[in-house]
Amino acid sequence: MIELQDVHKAFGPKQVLTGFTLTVRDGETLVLIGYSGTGKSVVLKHIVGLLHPDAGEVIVDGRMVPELDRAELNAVRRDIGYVFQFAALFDSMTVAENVALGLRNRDLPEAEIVERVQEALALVDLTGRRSCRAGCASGWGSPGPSPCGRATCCTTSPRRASIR
Amino acid sequence: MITGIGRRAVAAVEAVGRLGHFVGDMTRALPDVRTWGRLVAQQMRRIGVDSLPVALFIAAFTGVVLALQASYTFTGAVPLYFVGTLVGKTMMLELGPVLAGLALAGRVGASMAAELGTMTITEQVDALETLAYDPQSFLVVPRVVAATAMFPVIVTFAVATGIVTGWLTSLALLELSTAQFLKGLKIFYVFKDLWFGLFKSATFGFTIALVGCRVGLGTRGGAEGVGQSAMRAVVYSAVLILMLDAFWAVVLL
Repeated sequence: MIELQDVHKAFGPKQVLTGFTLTVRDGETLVLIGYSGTGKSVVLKHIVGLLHPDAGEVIVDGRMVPELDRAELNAVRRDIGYVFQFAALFDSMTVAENVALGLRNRDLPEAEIVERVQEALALVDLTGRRSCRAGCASGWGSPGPSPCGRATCCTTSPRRASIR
Repeated sequence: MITGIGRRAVAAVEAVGRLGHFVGDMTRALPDVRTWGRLVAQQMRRIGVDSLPVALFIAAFTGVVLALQASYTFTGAVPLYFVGTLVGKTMMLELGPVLAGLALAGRVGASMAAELGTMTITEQVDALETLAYDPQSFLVVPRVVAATAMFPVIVTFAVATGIVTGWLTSLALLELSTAQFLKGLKIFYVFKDLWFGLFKSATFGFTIALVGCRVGLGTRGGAEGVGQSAMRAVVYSAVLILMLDAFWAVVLL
């Protein structure tokens, strides 16, 4: 379960979140909709610990995210697939290397990594572009989250996904 | 005016504090060898091998100029074989490490700041974090380790190149024989000349990489921010190299 309780966040003089409260139960699908700059991404970044609240609590599976050390935070992050709005791909790596990156720090055998990457690329119809540099990501079709980002998210088998 | 001075002083202290914090974070990431270990070789090639031509080019012309200026200065008052002494000592102790350091502050420091700055503003650094990587382990430590290890190698080649071009200049333009040049080169040589320069260059490499990474990861804004970061990395690195140069001269010589 994910809980945000009375979260406040400001960037300089701009108050983005003022007493934001949200609960997402296991198995629930929730969509945050709002104008640009209203704090949707800020909420998601609090959940994965990329931002810390000025006040309030962010709790994932009973763990207070802002108080976790790096090892504990990484454990939380391994359960969350996060797809960035503008792909955030490593353009010095190929598509397959980008997708595999999330598996490389998990003590998995190479054969399993290759298999899971192939499955994820097939899922988003990128099998034929596995060796392309991620820098050629422009022109990958539909607007919205990049297919490579979605494949990266799928391949790590997260318990929950956050898509911007 | 006093307020302005105070504000700048506070900003400077804060900057030092942030750099100290950054070094602390990097030190905490050092045990994560599994992440950074496999990335070091690639950085060593980029920082070391790819930078070698620039360093050698500078060192080659420095050797020529040193030999000519030494003979111009000595003008009969000092035996000409001291050209070898001056070329060797100056290349090893000072010009080899410092000129290579300054040139690579531009090439390596700016490149790191621009690369990491672009990664920061395009959320690649955030993406790394969400994949449970520590950006310090993945981005900073491999660069700092590679730069610290490769700068002495680059400087070794630069010193050798400078001495060789100084020797060739002496043969061609100063009517100095190889035996005389070597006599001058060896007469006051002590092993400290070499290790002092190489140790100094390792600290320059560490500083350039550290500053490039810190400035790059602190980038804000868009393309302009990346440009600012690259410029800052070069300026800060150059200033720190000159300060370190003086510091090591006071402490070790």
